[in-house]
Order: sequence, then structure tokens, then C-alpha cells
Amino acid sequence: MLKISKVSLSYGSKQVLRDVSFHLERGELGCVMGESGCGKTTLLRTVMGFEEFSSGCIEVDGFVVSPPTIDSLRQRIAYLPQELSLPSPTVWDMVRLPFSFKANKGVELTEDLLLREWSLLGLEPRLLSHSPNAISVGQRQRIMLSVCGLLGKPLIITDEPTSALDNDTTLIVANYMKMLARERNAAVLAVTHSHILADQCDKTLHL
Amino acid sequence: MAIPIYFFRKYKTGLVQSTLVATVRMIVQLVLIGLYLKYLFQYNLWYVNLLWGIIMCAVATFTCVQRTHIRRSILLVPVTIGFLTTALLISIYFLALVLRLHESMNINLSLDLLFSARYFIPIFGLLLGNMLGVNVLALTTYYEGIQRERQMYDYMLGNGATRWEATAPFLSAAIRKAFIPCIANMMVMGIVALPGTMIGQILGGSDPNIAIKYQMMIVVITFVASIISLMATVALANRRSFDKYGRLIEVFGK
Repeated sequence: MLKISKVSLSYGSKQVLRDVSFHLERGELGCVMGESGCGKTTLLRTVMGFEEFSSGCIEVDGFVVSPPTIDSLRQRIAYLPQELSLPSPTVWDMVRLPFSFKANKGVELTEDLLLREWSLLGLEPRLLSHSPNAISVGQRQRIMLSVCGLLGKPLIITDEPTSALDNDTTLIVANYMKMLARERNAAVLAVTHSHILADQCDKTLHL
Repeated sequence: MAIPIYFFRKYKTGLVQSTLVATVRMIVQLVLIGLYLKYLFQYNLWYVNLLWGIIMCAVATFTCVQRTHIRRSILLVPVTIGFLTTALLISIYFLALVLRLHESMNINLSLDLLFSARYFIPIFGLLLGNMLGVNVLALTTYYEGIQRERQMYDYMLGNGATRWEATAPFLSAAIRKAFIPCIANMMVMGIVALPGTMIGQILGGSDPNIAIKYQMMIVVITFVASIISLMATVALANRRSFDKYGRLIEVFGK
């Protein structure tokens, strides 16, 4: 599903990624770990086509990351950036946003489906009508992770999905991500500093 | 002008010099334009009037690009095309199909009539002035929004949005910011504010009812022209503002 082969990336004279290789299949949960500033987020952004690598190759579901294929490639990914904040009036509006895109038109979203995901993530239904500014960062991370789950894409990429969570909730999220991999047959990749999440992963890339 | 300058100086606003320069420029420009327009109206050659319209458009374009602080390589051509085509189309539509000048004068529709100095230049100028204000505000809001909310933009692209879908919320915010003052102005028109076209006509001796009709038509065409020119400019500028991966390039600068 995801093949990263000998990818290198530099900003001017500063080499951020050097010959990074990693692969992840559907049904697997993987994570990227390393010190702050070592290029973890950059690697995810490179897979998404938001950063250009100088050498190597990245493939997603058979599509090589390149300008002609980038739109098709992104349609196969559910992406959750770090500490995302959307200026939506309510949480429900925030959740609905990616389902309004043409590429996701066939994907079903109902309150029932969403609340079923939320029950797995320890979220209360009353949050649905709240303003995104009135909920905590940790709640927002889990809400947006549930969106990734509902989009039903073969590859899910998340950047520090547990950075604002306590250990117990981190374990809940880790189990949810594992469920997405095992039961929904997705390849799930997360950047994380959490060993609780890393312990649940099938593969770990240390940068 | 002594009163505003007194307050500007008293509160150390730093606006004294620019106010004086603007005042002198306004006087010189208007005197020169007055001289020019006198001959323009006197000779009234359609191609000279059209050429003058194109010059007005060029000045509006440069002013727009300068005020937005967006790179010329991105905005110059889109704004030129957006302004010129919109102002020409709306002017012609207004003069030929709304005012029906040829019918009221009982003559054939011709280039001489459509581009006559008396009708074409004021309408063209009015449209350009409104389009300039709306485009500056909207384009600045649009690009600043995408730059500031890059994470949101990336989130949308990363979840399968097309570039149009990913830029739509920013365009929506830009349209709202640019058009809310226009709508608010329309709300109080005739009650709080008496608009310029109407006052000009009444002062010139027209029947107030005729002046009101003109004012309504002018408000509608400036409103329509502003949104059409903005959409054209954004559609064309988008092609130059994003790289092959859909990322916003560095748009602000010279």
C-alpha cells in the first residue's frame, strides 16, 4: 500500500531525510518515531506531496508521488495533520467538511455512524453540537480521527494523533487505529512520540 | 483640509505627509483630466475614447496589484483581463440593452454611440472604481487566508479535495469581506447616504425620479461587475498561484 524507497530531502544545505525506506501493507499499523525536528512530519508531508523529495520514490496504492498522479493518490488517503483547527460553526460541520468533496461523494456519513465511531474513541454525543473552539485539543484529535475512519480510505496518515491525550485515552486511540487496520483493512501510519501507541504498532520507523 | 491635518499631527498618526501629497496629487490629476476630458468630449472619436478606457483600466490594474502586495507575475495579467473584459461587457450591455441609447435617440447602434465620451467614459470609470475596491479587498483576504490557514488547506487537499474545493472556503471568506460593505451600503441607500450618481444628476437639473432610476441601475451594474471581475481574476490567478502539487507558492512580494 505504502512504499517509501530511499527517500532523501534537503532544505538548502540542511539534509532532513536521508535514504529513508519503509513500507506498510493494508491491515498493518505503523508509526514513525524520533526526536523533535528529525523530519517525522516532513516525511508524512512528503508522502502527501506537500514536500518535494530530492531522490528516491514513494508509492501509494500503485501511484508514484508525482505531479500527474498526485490528485488520484490523495483520493486514496485520509489525512489528519497535527492539532488541526477548522473554523466551522459546530463540530458536526467540521466533521462533514471532507464528505462534501467530489472524491468522497459516495462515502456515507450519518450521525449514527459517527456516534458509533465516537463510542469506540470515548467521545460523548453531546459534543456534536458544540463549537470546535469549545472542545479540548484531545477531543478534537479523536473527532478528526473518527472522520479518517469513516472516510474508508485504504491509507490513513495521522500526525501525532495522541499528543494531547493521557495514557488511558492514548491506549483507546491506539486500539481504534489498530481496529481500522485489522477490521477495515486499511494501512494506518502515525507520527508519534507515544510508546503506548508504538507498542500497538506492527512496524516502527525510527528517524 | 487644515482640520484633518491638525488632528493627524496632534495624534502623531504619520498621515500628514501622505495627506498633503494625496491632496496635491488629486488637484493636479483632476485639473489635467479636466483638460483632457474637455478635448475628449469635444472630438468624441470612439477609438480615442476606447483607448482612454484602456488607459484607465491599466491604471486600475497597477493600483490593484500594488495595493494587494501580490507579485506582479501572478496578478498583473489576470487583473488586466478580469477588469477589461468585465468593464467592456457590462458597459456595452448597459448602454445598448438597458439604456437602449439608440432607441431613445432614434439612431442606429454604432461604435460611435457605444463608445461615445459622454456615456462610455463615466460608466467605464464607475465600474473600474468599484471593481478596484472589491478586488483589492477580496484578493488580499483570499491569499492571506490560504497562507495563514495552510494546515486547513492541506487537510482538504490531503483528503481528496480538488484545488477549487480546497480554495472555496477562502474565496467565500474573501467574497464576504469584500461585499458586506457594498450590501450594507445598499441597505441604507437613500435613507442614510444619498449616492453620488443621484446627487450629480439632481444637481445637474434632472428629475429626481430619473436620477433614482439611474442610481438603481448603476448600483446593480457595479455590483454585478465587481463579482464577475473578481471571479475572472481569481480563476486566472489560481493558475499561477499554485505549484504542480497544488501548494500555494510565495505570492506576496514584488
